[in-house]
Amino acid sequence: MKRAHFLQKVSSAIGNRTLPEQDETSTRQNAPSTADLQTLINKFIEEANAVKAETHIASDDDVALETVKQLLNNQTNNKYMSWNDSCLPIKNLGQRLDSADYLRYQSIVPRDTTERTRAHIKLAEVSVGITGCNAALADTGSIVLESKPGQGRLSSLLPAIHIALLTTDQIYPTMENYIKSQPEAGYNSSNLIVITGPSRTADITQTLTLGVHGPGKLHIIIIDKVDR
Amino acid sequence: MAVTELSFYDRISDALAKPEGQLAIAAGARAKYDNRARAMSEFPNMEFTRDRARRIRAQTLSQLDKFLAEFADNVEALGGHIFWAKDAQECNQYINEIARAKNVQLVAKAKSMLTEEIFLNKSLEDSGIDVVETDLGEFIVQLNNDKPSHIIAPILHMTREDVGNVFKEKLNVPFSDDPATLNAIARAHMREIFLKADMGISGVNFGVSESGAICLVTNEGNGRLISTAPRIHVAVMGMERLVPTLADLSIMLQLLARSATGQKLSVYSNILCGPRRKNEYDGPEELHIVILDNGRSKILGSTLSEILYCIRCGACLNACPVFHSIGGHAYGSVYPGPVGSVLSPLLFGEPWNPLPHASSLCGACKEVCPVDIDLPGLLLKSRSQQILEGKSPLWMRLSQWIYAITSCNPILFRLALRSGQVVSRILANDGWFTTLPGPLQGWSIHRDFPALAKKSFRQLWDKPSQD
Ligand code: SF4
Repeated sequence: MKRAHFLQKVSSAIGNRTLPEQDETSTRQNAPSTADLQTLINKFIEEANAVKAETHIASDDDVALETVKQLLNNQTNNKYMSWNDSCLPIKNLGQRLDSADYLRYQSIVPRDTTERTRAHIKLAEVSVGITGCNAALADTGSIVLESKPGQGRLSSLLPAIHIALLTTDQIYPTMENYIKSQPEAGYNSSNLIVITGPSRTADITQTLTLGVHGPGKLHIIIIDKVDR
Repeated sequence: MAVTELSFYDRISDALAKPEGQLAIAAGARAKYDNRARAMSEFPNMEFTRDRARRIRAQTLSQLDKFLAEFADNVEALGGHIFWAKDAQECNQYINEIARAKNVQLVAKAKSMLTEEIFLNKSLEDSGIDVVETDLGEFIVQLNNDKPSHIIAPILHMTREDVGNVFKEKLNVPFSDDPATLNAIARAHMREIFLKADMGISGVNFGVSESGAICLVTNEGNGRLISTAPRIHVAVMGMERLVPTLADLSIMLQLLARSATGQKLSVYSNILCGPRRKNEYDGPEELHIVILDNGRSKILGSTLSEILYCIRCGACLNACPVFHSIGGHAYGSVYPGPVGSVLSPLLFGEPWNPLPHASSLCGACKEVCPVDIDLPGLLLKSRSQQILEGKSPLWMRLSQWIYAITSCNPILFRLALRSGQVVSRILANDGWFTTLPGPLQGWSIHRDFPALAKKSFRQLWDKPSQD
C-alpha cells in the first residue's frame, strides 16, 4: 500500500474519533532526584542484586583487573571476547590479559553472509564477554550499553557470563533522568540496550530460571572514578 | 482469522472439562496478578505515572498520522526500510518477497502476537522457509502444534510434566520435569538457529517517532539475538504502537514491565535505531519495518478506539475471573481475556461476537490496566453495538422484543406479573426456585433463583397492608 493512501485512511479515521483525554497534556513531572553519589551507588547495588546481578566494588583499575582475572579463572577455557580497549575503563585491558595468557577473540562480525555465520559459530565457543557501560540506572539496577564502534553487541549477549565494567560517575537515578541528561544516547548507535539482571524466563509453570538465551550470569564491577 | 469449527460455548465446555489445565491457568494468572500488585504498590507516584501513560497514548492516537509520518521519515533516514501494509496478506507477501530475493532459508522469530494474528509463520512455511520460534514458551507451543494461551505467558495452560513430555517426544531427550533442565535443553537446541538464521522476525513493543527507533522487550534475550545475529531483521508493527519521544518510552517501559511480570524493568529493553552502522562491530545489515493496519484504522474511527491504547501487558487477563476459569484457548483468538473480548470482534468479525458477553463486568480489568482503559465500558458498548446492528442472537432479540412490548403496555405488564406470581406460588419452594425450566436449567444447577414476592410493589402501593 502507498504511504499517502495509508496515512490518508488514518487521518480520516481520526477525523471522526472519540478519544478520551486527547486534548489535555500533562505538564507535571516526577520530582527530580537529589540523592548524593554514595546513596546512588548503594541503591544501584541493592537493585542490581535484587535482580540477581552480582556486584563487585573496585577502588581502582588494578583491583578491577584482579576481579576480572578471578572471574576468568573460574572458567574451563581461557577465551573471552570484549569491547575495544579504548571503550573500557580499565587501561590496556587486552594487553594485560594477554600477558596473563588469556585469549581475546576478535568480535567484529564480517558483513559477508558465509563469513558472518562462520564468525558467529566461532564466537559461540567463548564463555565470557567483557564490556564497559555507557550508563547505569540506580532505581532499577540496570546498566545501559550503546553499540558504537568498538562496542559490539555480542559481547554482552552471546557468552554465558557477562562482565560489565562500570564507573561510579556513570550512575543516574532513573531512566527518565538519564534520557533527559543524555538525549543523544538514543541516536548515537544502532542499538541502545538497557540490561536489568541476567537473562531469565518463568514460562514453565512460573518457575524462575536464569540464562535462557542471553548470559545466565551478570557481574558488574563498579570502579571508583569520581574525579574522571 | 479463520473461523474455528467449535462455537465459543463448546470451547468453554472443553476448557472446563480439563481440570489440570484449569488449575495451571488459574494458579499462573493469580501469581502474575500478585506480582503486579506488589510491583505497582512499590511504584513511587503510581497513579500519576498511570495517568501520564494514558495521556501519552491519547496524544499519540489523536495525531497518529503525523507521528507515523515522522517515524517513517526517521527510519528511512537511518537506512531502514518502511513498508505500509493494509492487511495480513500485503504484509506476509512483502516479507515473503524479501525472503525470496535474499535467499533466506532459516528464520528465527521472537514472540509477537501480531505475527500470530496474521499467520505469518504459515505463510513463510508454505514457501518452504523454516521458521523457528525462539521464545521458550512459543518454542514449546510450536513443537506441540499448539496455540499460545496468554499474550505474555504462551504456555500458561501447561504443567511441567506436559512440557517434559513434549521435549521427550519432539526433541528425543530423556524425560525431565525440572524447569532448569528443560531450559538448558532449549538453550542448546536454539543456539545454532540464532547463529545460522538468515532473517530475524519480531514484533515491536513501541516505535519512537522522534528518533525512528523501535523497542523490543524480552527477558530471555532472544529478541536481542534475532535482531543482532541474522543479516536481515524484519519487525512487524501494529500502526498504533508509537510513542512520540524517548522520554515517553521510558514511562511505558516501566509500566509494561511492572504490569506484565512485576519486574521494575524487563531484563532487556532493546532500543534499535536503524540497521548496523559504519564501523559498528555487529548487527543486521538490513532492517525492514512493516507498519500494519489490518483493521486498526477502522477501530480508530469507531466508538471503541480506546482499546488501541493497549500496550499488551496481559494484566487484564491475569485479573479476569472468566479467564481464570476458561483459560486463553476458549476465546479462540490470539487476544484472549478482557482486551481480546473487545478486540477480537473488531479485528476478526462476527464469529467472535459472543466474546464481549462472557463477562460479569466486575471491573477488575480496568483496575489493573496500566493505561486505564475502561474495559467494562468498552465491553458494554460492544454488546450494545451488536444489538443496534441486529447482530445479537435470535433468542436475545426475541426476548428483548417481548420485554419491550410488555413493559410499554400497563395491562400486559400487570398480566405478566400476575402470571409470574401464580407460577411462583405453584413451583417455588419457600420463596426459591431450585430448578428452572428449559434452557435456564443450567443456571440453577449450582444456585437457586428467588421467586416473585407474593405482592408486587404496585399492589402494596395501591393497598397498604393492614397489619
Ligand atoms: S487492555 Fe490494559 S491491562 Fe489489558 S493488556 Fe492492554 S494494557 Fe494491559
